[in-house]
Amino acid sequence: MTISIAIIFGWLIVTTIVGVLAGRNQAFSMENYFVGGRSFGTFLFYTTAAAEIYSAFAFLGLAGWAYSKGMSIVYAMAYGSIAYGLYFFIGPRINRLGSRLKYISQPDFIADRYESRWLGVFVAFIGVIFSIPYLQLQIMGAGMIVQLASGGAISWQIAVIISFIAAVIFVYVSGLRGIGWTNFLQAIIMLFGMVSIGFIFPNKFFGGTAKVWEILQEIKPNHLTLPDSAGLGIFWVASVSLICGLGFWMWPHIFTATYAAKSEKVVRRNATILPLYSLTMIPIMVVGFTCAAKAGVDPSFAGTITKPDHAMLIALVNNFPPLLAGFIGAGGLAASISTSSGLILTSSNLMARNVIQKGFMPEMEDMAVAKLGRALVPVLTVLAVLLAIFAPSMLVSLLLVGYSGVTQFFPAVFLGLFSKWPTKAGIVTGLLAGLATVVAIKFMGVPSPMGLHEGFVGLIVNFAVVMVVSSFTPKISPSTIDRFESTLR
Amino acid sequence: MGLSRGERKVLWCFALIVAGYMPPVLNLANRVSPVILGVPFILFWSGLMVPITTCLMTYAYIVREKEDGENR
Repeated sequence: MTISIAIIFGWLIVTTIVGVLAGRNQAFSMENYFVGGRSFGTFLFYTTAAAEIYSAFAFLGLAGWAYSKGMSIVYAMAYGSIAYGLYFFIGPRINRLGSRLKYISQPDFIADRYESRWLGVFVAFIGVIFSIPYLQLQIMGAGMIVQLASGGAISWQIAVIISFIAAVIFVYVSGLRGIGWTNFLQAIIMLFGMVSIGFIFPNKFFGGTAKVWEILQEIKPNHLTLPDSAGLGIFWVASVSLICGLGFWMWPHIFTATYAAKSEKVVRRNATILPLYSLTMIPIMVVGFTCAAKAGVDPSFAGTITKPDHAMLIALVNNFPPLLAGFIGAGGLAASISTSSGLILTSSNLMARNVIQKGFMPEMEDMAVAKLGRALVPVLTVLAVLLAIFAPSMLVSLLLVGYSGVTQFFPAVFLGLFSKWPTKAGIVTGLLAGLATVVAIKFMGVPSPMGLHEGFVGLIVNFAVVMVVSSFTPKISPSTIDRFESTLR
Repeated sequence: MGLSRGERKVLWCFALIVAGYMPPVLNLANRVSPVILGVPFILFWSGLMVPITTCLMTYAYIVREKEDGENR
């Protein structure tokens, strides 16, 4: 196990050094710190986006889902394609508005577009509320990956503390530029890890994939089609793909990354090539199916899998050389840290700029806001690490509605980019109605029509309320509309 | 603020991507055989939609570049 531990922590040290060095020639300012000076070219933007998008879920969750539930995992491929298709429309406009109107965060755009400082504060607050559990999930994922890949030699709590000290160092010193360059390294090792095990696993256990499908069709006939072993069918896959695809860019850290691209052309190029990265998910899914087949024919193997999400790493450690476990562990840790670092930076940005400055201290200078945001980086990380260690299940409810929750920003963003008619009152009431619908279905037992995903139903309610309320409430002033029109022309 | 002529064309590309994952199409793809490139057909179809997305977005990119050139 010494080899795998050395590889995992050696990788962590290398990425930390690269992250710190990335910011050494960068003057400290709000724009440089939070949006990388709006200077990311196609390649750096690609790796930044890819590494932020593919999180610990790509390593633990995909294989775990394929192992325990079955073919409904194809939703992960589907929503990626839908999200990138959508990005071609909204990405260039977000980037242009950001660079010309000097936006640093998602609520900057929403507050300006709908002439409401408090709507911006509210959106920022909701963004942080949903980002913290997501961050906690990444932290716990990172700890689990290291614990499993080291064969239990390192406890997950120790792994979490070491990993996040490293992340805080490079995020604190270099901001988004540090994240960008470490993500470049993270993307490489993630790519290597995800693709290689997809070939190695089925070959080792069954001499190829053909036998995997044959066995699964025999012992779990529902596992390879829809509805699958968990009963998740075509309508579920379609509605979840749609809601995740539309909500994807509404996550504050992913939305803000668009401001870092140096031109609209960079954004468009990335909308074209980013989908290809999601092909790397197929090998991980194949690994999950391989583990399911192996567990079906080998009870001793099945007995070692304590949780579905751990299936891939447990099988890896028990059946393959430590060198491979080390590389895959480093890849999983990379996936988790790259997503976490973006979440940490964006949450600090939202708190400092949109909640504290815009909400309560409008006289605060931008440089002071940048310094406050940087000071919040370790504070928010420590908070999330403490929650992960001492109250791992406390934020589960928030996490369950996280995606559905941020997707309710979609009408405000989409209509704000493409339409003049939504009003401030319409957007506020729509957002509240959408969030209330999600909570009612998820937690209060209100039935969802046709078994549709609660976020999807919330979005329909949200849009309907925006349309109705906007028809009789005061319009946005012509000067604001003109300003946006001339910027987007 | 509305869609430009190029964006309206691109909208059709997006509609095709979404259609590829909607119930009528998924219903047709919802099968194990034929196993193509070592994976069941439904997984192959989901994977195939990825390069199709890239092709459609490449077309969209060309359309928007051309429109930008005309506007300059």
